[in-house]
Amino acid sequence: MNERVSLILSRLKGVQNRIFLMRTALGALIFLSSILFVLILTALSSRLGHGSVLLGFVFWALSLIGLVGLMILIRKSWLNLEQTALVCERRFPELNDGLISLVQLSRMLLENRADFSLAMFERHLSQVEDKLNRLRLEDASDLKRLRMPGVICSFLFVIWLTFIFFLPGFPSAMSQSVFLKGLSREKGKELLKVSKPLELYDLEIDYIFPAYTGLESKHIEGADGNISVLAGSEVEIRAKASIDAKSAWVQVLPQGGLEAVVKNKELGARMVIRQSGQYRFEAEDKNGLVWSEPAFHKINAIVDHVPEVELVEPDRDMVVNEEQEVVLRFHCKDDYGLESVSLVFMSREKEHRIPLKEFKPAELESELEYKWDLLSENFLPGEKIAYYIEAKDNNNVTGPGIGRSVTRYLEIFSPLKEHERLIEKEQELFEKLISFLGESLSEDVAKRDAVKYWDMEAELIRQFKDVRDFLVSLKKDVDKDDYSPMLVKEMMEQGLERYRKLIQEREESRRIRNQAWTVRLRADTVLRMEQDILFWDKQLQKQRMDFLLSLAERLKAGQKALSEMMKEYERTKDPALLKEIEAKLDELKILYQEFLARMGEIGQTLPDEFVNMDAMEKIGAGEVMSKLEKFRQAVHDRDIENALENAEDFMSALEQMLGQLEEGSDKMGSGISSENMMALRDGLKKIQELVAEQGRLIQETDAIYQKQMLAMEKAAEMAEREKGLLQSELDALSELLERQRDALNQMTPRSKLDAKDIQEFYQNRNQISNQLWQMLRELELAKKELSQDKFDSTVQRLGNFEKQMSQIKQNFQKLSQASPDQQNSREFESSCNSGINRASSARRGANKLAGQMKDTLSESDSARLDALADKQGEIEGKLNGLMKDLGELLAKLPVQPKKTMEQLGKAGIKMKDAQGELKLKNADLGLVAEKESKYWLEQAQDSLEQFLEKMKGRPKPSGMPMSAQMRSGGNPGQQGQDGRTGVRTENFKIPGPDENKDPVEMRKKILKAMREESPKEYEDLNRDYYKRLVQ
Amino acid sequence: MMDSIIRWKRLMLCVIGISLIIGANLFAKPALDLSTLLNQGYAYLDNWQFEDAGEIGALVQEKVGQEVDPVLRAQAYLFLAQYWFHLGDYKRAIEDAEKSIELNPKSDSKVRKFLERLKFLANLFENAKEITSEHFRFRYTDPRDEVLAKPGLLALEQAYQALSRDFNFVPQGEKILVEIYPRASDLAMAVGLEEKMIKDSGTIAICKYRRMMVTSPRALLFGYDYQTTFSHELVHFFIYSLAGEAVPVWLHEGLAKYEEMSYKGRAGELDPVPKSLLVSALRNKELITFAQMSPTFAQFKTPKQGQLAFAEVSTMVDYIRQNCGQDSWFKMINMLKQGKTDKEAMRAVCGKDFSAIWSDWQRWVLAKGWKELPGAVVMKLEFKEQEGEEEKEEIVGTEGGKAWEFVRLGDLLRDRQYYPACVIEYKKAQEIEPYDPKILNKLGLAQTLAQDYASAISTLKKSAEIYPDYSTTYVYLGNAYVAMGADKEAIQAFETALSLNPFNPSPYRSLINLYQRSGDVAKAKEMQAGLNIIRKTGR
Repeated sequence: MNERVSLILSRLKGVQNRIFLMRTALGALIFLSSILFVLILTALSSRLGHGSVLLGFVFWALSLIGLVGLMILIRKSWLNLEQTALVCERRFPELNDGLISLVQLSRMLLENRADFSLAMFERHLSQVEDKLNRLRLEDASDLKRLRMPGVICSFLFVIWLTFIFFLPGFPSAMSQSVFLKGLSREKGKELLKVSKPLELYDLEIDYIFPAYTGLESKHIEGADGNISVLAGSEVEIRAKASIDAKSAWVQVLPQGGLEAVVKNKELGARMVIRQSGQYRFEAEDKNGLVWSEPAFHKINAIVDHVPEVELVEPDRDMVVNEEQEVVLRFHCKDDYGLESVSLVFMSREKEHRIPLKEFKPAELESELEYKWDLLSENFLPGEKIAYYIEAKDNNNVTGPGIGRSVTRYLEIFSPLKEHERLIEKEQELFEKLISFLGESLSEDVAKRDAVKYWDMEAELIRQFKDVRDFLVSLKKDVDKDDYSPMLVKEMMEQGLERYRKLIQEREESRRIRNQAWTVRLRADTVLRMEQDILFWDKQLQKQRMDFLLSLAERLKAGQKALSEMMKEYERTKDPALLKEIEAKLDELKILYQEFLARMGEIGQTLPDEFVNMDAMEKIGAGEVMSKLEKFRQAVHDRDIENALENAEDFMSALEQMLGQLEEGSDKMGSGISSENMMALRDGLKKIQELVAEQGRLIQETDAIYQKQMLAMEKAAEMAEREKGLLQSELDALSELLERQRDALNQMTPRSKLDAKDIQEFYQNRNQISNQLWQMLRELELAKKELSQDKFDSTVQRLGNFEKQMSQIKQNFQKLSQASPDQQNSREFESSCNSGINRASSARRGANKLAGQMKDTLSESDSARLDALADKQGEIEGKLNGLMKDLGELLAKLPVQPKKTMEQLGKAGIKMKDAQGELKLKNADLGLVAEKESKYWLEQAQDSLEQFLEKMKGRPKPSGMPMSAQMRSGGNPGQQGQDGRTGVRTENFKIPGPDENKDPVEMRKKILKAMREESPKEYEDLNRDYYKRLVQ
Repeated sequence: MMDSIIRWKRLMLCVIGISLIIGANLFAKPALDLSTLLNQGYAYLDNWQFEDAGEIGALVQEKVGQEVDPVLRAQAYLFLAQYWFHLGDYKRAIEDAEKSIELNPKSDSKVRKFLERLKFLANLFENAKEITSEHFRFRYTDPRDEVLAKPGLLALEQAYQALSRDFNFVPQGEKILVEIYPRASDLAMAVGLEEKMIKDSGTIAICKYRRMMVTSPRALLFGYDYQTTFSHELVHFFIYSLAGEAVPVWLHEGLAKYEEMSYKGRAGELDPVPKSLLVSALRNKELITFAQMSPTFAQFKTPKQGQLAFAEVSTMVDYIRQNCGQDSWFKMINMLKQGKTDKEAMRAVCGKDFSAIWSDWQRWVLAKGWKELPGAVVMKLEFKEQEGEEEKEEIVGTEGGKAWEFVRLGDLLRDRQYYPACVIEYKKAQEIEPYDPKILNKLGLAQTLAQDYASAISTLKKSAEIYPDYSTTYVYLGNAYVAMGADKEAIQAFETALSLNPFNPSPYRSLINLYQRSGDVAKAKEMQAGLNIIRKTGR
């Protein structure tokens, strides 16, 4: 039973909703229709020419009442079930109150409050069910009743829309009415008036255009009254009216009205068109009736467009040199004429304007070019300048239209900024190195099978190559950068070489799958990465700090200039200088702000342990800035006394801050650890000690050598006399031989001899003759050697001579027997004996001479040379030890002095030579080798010194804001400071021209030097010597 | 009968009354003049006899009004100011000091400086709070220092018990004042030393003017073992109370060092680093003489010197105790009170000259076989540069040398999350500097990050063993334990970290989580309360 009841009740609930919806919709439609009706009335009222304030009131009253009514209606439309049942009862009387009874009883039943007979109720229920089954309860709320109000509302809506779109002035009239814009006393009076339609004909309009347009006036007859003209033009309207008007006026929307001129039946009015709108004539006749044109005429004010400016060149933002001339090409045009064009730019927070051209009247278009000399603007390096071209038109009515080109930027090239960019790139490299190290080390601890091992090795090599490639690209830029320290440049060069080698070897090792080698190479790579990371870690910090210092140098330069200006002012008291000082202070302020900003940024990237940035900021941001401000203010107020006082304060505060900054930078050290730096300095010290030791050795050897030279000179003096005697002996021997040959040639055989013996005789004679001739040649050679002080050789030749002469004597005995001339034979034999004796005597003389020349070196000196050779050996041993230590140390460094080791190696070789020569008692050759060795040691010392200097040095390119890349002084590729070449000549004796006359000594030295690589001085000497030989 | 008894009683009462009056007159102190009173009062103050000094103070107050000589009155007010100052009542002290200056405008600069100091202290402690326990008044100015009160007072009371037993003596008078100074500079100002001297020597607390003046661990980047420091200063308090100024500084500090751990039942314990320093100094003949220790330990230019001096004197105390009898140093103190020199006292109790004791003590120390730790460092107290600086768990090494190059590499790798790689670099550093606490901790942290928890714990335990006062180690150790799920050990580590640096929020957070996880809600709440205290806005 309950279910059956619920079913009926749910049907009833459906009816309840429908009734609610229908009533609400009906109310809304009526409300909307009323509103639309009033809105439409505003159109009609505006057509009649009067304000519609009343309609505004009606609109708002209606809206308010309507809304309230609607709310009430909605509230009332929500019926409860019993009310709904009653509605149904009213609609369907056949229910005969059965439904309402059922609803009431069923509630009691559902709430278990039924105190009635359920059997009776069931019977009643069955009856109601029967009736309801025959009825459509939904019809109790017939939606068809909404049809008519809906149609009306839609109709009104369509009309309203039509008015909006097609009726000019309707929206404004509507807004004027609805928002009660026209509410005034006069309007109220107007509301009471009734207007009649005014007809106008023979309409004429004169257009007078603004003078700047250069357009002539225009007259139009038979116009429809609509006006379309350039804003600012004056329009004169004349028309004939259908009535005799007492007065007339023009109602202009939206501005208001103006008086019209009435002359007979002709009406006229003049107005300046400033904006679009509408107008109509209205007139009052003599009876006081108001006449209005039934429709408004349109006013279309044509706007004067602003000039169009197109910046053709530069077509992009540019980085330029502050001395450069930038060519600007631009095109500008205007619809009625250009007046002027200017270049506008922002520099140091101020707008500047350069007039480029004034145009002739009515010039509509122009294509221009302007060469902008940046030097005259005093831009600062690194400054970013926004600029555009601005053109004005000649509109002097509504004010000139201003057109602008796009804004572009010029950045004044700053080597500092470029350097800053490079530091960022170096930071990127640093990150790559760390990543690679991280990957490499992680890979070392990972346990991989063989296949994965080699795959990972390939991956690591790839990463390594990435690092290398990045370094290659970075190096190109860094090489060009004046602010990058030499140390960094060299490190990059050497690093690149090492990376290339390592990559190559790792690739090779991977190719042949040599794991042991790869492990070693990986360890080498890790070591290299570690060293390089530590280098960059410090170097980047140092470079950042140095960068800050470079900025500070600009500040210092500014400060100096300011200081000079202040001094000048104190001297001259020239008030004009104050302006300059003020400008300089503005510039300094901007510089200082930039400096502070950078300091803030850099401060975050620097580890606290290196520099107390907080402290610096405290000084920087607080004190200096406030002192600068005080100074500026005092100058600005022309409070000279204070200005001078504040200037001093500011300068000293700035100086103090910059001093602190420099101190902080010094703390940074370089990219090489202090431990290694100390070791390098130790190495340098040891080289210096070696140089000193070698110097002492040279002094000692030189003393012996000089002593020997003196002895040799004495011996040579004595030898000259002996040589003369010997020479005459040899000459006498030659004569003797000549005579012997003559005597021999005169000898004939005995006549009794047979043919065979005769033949033998002549054979013997010829043989002896040849021997004699040979001996003559030998004697000539001996003479020559004697003149060349080759005494040993002379002795040897004379010894040979003696033997040959004895042999001739023997051979001659046989010949003598076969010869009839015994007298001649005896003489020949006697001359042989004489020759032997003379030769023997000459040999002894030569032998004596040779002995004299050899004994120039005393025994003690000889022993001393031995000791010096040992000493040289000791020095060489020290050098070898040093080279070993230094080699190990340099291998750990990310960057190394290029030639030091090579130069030390050469010094070592020369030390060996010196040792050998000293052992052989050749003090002269030993001395040469010693000196050469010292030379190479000094070269090594120089190169190491320069390297250490580079490591601590901060590059300071000359002329701070200059963008020129050439360093002052020196040629490309030249090393060393201040144009000094890297060769030292001190303590190195170069033989003078007279010394070259000593052929034996010099020849020995020179020939020795020719065999081996020699210092430059020796090369020159060789060249000179050979030149003279040729001459 | 009754009447006679009553009469007898009355007679007796009269006799007693008269006797009392006569007795009182006989035994009453003679009326002293103001000048004598002041001299006596100062003597009491110098000898820490504050009750007696108080009595004198009361008499001086009575007499000062009647005194006509303005200079003497000025001196009287100055004495009163000194008395109030010793009691920690700065406002009253200022009143009297000002009166003194007013009466004697020609007062010397010391008086004016004293007034300045009073004003400074009055200003510093103007809104100070006090928490008291049975024997102590714990005074602090910064609300965050409240976190020290509970564990600090607990440690102090424990130390009080232990020292009362060991010294067989209880200090008399009012509760002992413990003042917490927010900065080292405040402590320096309070005791009239230079801040640099305080920082260089690592002086963190001073027992003077009948109170303990302690710099808050909040003033240091890593905190310090403040409970043991409280205990150390309390030993000084006991010695002063017992013997006034008679005890020489070496014995004062020796006893203090020896007894400072008595509240934990570990009297005489020395850490490995001081042991190593002592052995090294003995071998290299670089000992600090007792004369060099005078007048104060605060004069040492480096913490290393201070540590060595402490090691020397504490082992000397131990040596005397073991070789000259358990109560030998009490005997020495008594002799010193009687005016004997320390050397005379030592000869009397040990039966040999100081030089023989000095040599024997060296042999005795060497015989202990303590290890030298090459490269072990003495941790310098890292004071915060400015207020508000965050408590740190790690500092960047600024040391030079190869090891620190590897450390730097490790740091760079760690920052970029190459944890196994940074472990390798730290290990390289550790091979060079095997006992550097910072390197050990960095390695331990890196091992934790690389999830090698067992190695991390081993490394950090080694660090904790050598440097038990370095709070960071325990934080890292706790984190490693948490990571490997050993909550119990983690709790212990974090608790130790907090006992050293209660201003580091990280262990609180970890402990809250751990206690919540273990269901110990009360402890979790306690930690939360601690965290809330240290998060309070400072003064």
